[in-house]
Amino acid sequence: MPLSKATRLMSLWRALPEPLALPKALGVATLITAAATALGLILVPWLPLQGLSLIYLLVVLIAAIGFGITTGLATSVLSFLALNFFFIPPTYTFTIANPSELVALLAFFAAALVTGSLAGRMREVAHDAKRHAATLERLNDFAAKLSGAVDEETILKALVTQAAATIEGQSVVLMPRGNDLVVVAAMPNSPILDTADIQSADRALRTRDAVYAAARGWPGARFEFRPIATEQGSPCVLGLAPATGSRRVERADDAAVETILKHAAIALDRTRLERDRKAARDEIEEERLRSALLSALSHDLKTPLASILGSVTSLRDRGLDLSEETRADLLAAIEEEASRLAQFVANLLDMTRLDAEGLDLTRDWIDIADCTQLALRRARALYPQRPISFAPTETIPPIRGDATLFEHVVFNVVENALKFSRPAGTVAIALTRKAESADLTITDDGPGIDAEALPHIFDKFYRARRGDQEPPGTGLGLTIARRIVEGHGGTIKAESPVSAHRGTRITIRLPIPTHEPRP
Amino acid sequence: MTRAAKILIVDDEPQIHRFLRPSLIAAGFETMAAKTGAEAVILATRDHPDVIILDLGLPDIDGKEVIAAIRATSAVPIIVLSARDRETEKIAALDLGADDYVDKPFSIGELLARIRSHLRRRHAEAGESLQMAFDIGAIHVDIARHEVSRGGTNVHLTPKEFDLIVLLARHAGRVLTHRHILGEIWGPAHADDTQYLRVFIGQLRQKLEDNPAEPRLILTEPGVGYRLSDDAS
Repeated sequence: MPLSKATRLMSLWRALPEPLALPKALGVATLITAAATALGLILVPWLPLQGLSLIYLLVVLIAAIGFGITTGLATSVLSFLALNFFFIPPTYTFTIANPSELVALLAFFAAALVTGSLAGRMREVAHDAKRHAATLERLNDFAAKLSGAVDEETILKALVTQAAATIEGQSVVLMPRGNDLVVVAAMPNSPILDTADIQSADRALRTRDAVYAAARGWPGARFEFRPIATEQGSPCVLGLAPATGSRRVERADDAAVETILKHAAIALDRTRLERDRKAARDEIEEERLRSALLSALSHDLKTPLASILGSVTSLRDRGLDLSEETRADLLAAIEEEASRLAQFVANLLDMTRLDAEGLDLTRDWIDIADCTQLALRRARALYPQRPISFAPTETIPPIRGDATLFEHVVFNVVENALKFSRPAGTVAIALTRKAESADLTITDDGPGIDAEALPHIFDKFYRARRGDQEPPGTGLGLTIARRIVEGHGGTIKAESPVSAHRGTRITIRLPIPTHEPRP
Repeated sequence: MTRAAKILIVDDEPQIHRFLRPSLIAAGFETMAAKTGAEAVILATRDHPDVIILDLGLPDIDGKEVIAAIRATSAVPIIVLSARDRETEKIAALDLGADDYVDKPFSIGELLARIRSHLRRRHAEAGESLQMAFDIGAIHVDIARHEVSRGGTNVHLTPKEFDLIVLLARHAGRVLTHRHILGEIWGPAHADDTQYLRVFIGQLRQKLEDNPAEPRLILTEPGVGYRLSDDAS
């Protein structure tokens, strides 16, 4: 099978060492020629001159294949001299007596040169192929890594890794930040760059062209820099320094480096686009929230206002003959709607404060049961007709937190439970101690929450069941509650239905600190 | 004594019913209440209210659909309750046949004035289906003789100005949207040329108003249209 033969041949080539530089090549050529001469001297009684020249041709071939074209050619020259000196009469001189032997010798020399250079060339081609295959493999890996990268950092990390492997040296990526260039990625480690390097990098960045390292023995930059030509990403440059003495990146690696840079630039542009798209999405989301806020305002702010203004103007209208009973009801309506408005505005302000400043918890020792009682007192005042039960049996150690905010959370959740179990539902509150936490549960026996709505009830402005008979609210209460609970290191979650397809239970879990407070 | 006028209140908010119902009763009306659009359409066709007060934000069907459904069978005056910032919604409601709108929140006095104005207009229309002359305050419009006078003196109007005042006078007290007026007087192709209308309204005010800078006759409904006041009549 020609294919498998070729593969085997390739693997043989691959096993070969790198071609030798000139001094070493001369040494090896001398040794090989000496060995061939020794063999020739032993075999000379039985071998004609043609046989001896074949031995020399063979070693030229071996030298060229094994050690490269330089060694091959050196061996040809030495073999030519050795054949002449040791075997062509008069022996041990470089003179030749018989003209026919001169022709044979020259023919041998020509054959040796051709053999040596051809075999050496083949070897080089094989070597290049091997390099090329390795480069391609690495590029594939690199491309795969880039396609999975979602942020700039990953891409730059992959880039320096790839570049360092390709040139077998050091690589670094620099990016302008303010007036300085800073290292944003490096392989194998962050190098010490001198002024010349920084100047080179800066020039590469400005001219958008490669800036090469100084020649060996000359003062100047150790790294060469190439710009990463992104279309819209932040500008940056790749610095390269081969580990071997040569200061210049090998020509053979040039194309590979360029390809890597192109890949990286495309990937950087892609992440930038992605980021822009995400920003646009966020903006749309923001817009959606804003319009939700507006509709919440127009619905929940205007209805109480309409009720208040309508009732007040009715009461003041002298043309209307209102009964005493009607007057009392209109006044009650005004009071209720005004307190609803106050609650609404308070929630909005809380939300705005939480959004703008984050959570400012006055870290203090608070008693969960006490806070709950306070919140329930407020809730009972608002809904005097509704049964709200709370009978703590266990003593819960105090937790670190903000008493006012925590009371606010409990009130919000309880009020929500009361609203959504109208008109006559009951709300039960329980406080239990777990291993490392305290669980406060607020359970109502209302109609419960739909499975599809359940995951969203803590979202800003989210309100289940729009429309008919909808209890008024801001859609903010539970969002605020979650912010505050999470600010206390706790969690808040909702279950529904609780039993017999009815009811909702909100569980607030707060961690109990391991250290008890010292009085 | 004529029978009390029946008012149908359509709103999904119980708070609105809570103050509207006793106030309207105290003002001498009879009231009916609907909390959904479907209920409103049934009551409107079955019980023949004299005026309908309709909130556009209903839980089941859009308030505009309610207007269309009622208009299919009845010309009962419909006063829409809407938010100030919802011009397009108001315009759509008026174009579908609503007669008027009141911005929420509103005072009872304002709503009562509108209700009375529409009841009056309705009685007038019932009495004389095609009126040939109108009196609005000091203004007299005589359609047959193509004449308009103010305090007894003739006012010269261009044909378009005359058509405009007749259109407004025929619907005195009602809000007419820009589109409606433009379509009636200049034709459907000009339904969006609000600028035309501004110019002609300005000229009419110059000729008919006591103080054109503070119009009391031809009233602007911001972003929606115009209304000819009928309080002075």
